Amino acid sequence: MKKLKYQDINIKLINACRKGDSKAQFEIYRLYYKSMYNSSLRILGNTAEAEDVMQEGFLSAFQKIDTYKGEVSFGAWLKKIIVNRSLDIIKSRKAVISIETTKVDLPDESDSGYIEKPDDVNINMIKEAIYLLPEGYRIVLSLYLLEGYDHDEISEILNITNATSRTQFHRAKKKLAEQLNELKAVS
Amino acid sequence: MSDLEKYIIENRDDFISDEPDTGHFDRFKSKLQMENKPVRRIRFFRVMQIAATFAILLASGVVIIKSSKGKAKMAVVTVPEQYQETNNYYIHQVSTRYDEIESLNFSDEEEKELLLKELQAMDSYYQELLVDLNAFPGDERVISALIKHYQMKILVMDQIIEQLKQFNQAKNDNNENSNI
Repeated sequence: MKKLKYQDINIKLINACRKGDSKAQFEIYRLYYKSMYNSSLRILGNTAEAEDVMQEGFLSAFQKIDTYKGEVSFGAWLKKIIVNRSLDIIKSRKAVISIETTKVDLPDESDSGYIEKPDDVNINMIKEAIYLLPEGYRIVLSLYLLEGYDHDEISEILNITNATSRTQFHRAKKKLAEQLNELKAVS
Repeated sequence: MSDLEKYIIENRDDFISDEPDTGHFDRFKSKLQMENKPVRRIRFFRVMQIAATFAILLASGVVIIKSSKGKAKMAVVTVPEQYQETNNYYIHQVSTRYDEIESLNFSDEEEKELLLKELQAMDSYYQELLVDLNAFPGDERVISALIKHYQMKILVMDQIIEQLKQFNQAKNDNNENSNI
């Protein structure tokens, strides 16, 4: 079945960008920078690097805007570029992203990974706790919960198995709950 | 789905709250302008070199260069022994940069030839002044001017290399076989 085209609400701006209109390009930046910056920051954990990767990601997107076929929203297309670039930076820092691949039992039916949100926990505390997670946990958890990637997509972009992605996510959630309890204790 | 997981997903938008450092709009505008005008960027190099050349001419008045097998490189100059090591260091630095510039891709070969010619021209101004250096080899003012020239030249060459790398990177990104 032919994939339906996605009519982006910013299609006029996108078309202007295709013609190299720098005003339209800047307007697209203005509309999307915050979401893209936060995605990059969650992966990189460094504000200066996140800004640089985000801005270079926009420039790269404008250069290859002809490859945007409208099958997903422009924002989703752009985000993929920026997430990939952010991950490339992490990969360039070391040979592999430190994903623990030791086999652990995945949660079974009775242990569906349910983790209670500690009481009196707010968004800011969760954000702080996410930044305190080890890099591998932070990346998988952010990609899954905040960027909306599924485990197949995560396993593909991180070059890990689907099971490793699930395991890592499960551990990350547990660790996140622990961090939240610790943050609550000191607050 | 865990309570914690559900809470995060339901409140996803609230996690988009960090802002880049102040001035990011201006920084992006500059990048955008650079990106959209690659040809002008190359021309900008020449302006910079010429400006640098005149700055050095005014400020110093010395130096060095000779062609070696058609390649412009800093030549060994008779300098007092105590400055020999410094002099050799700068010669090596400049020579390395010439090699790097020559190895980088330009938008076209004509641009490359022009740039290299202008770099050589920048040096040729100083050949006449080399006489002064040989006449007063121990003159610290002359030595100081010589070092200033090296430093300025290295600075200009580094900027050229940086711009060329950005230009090449942009070109590579453009050709990137995106997996999206």
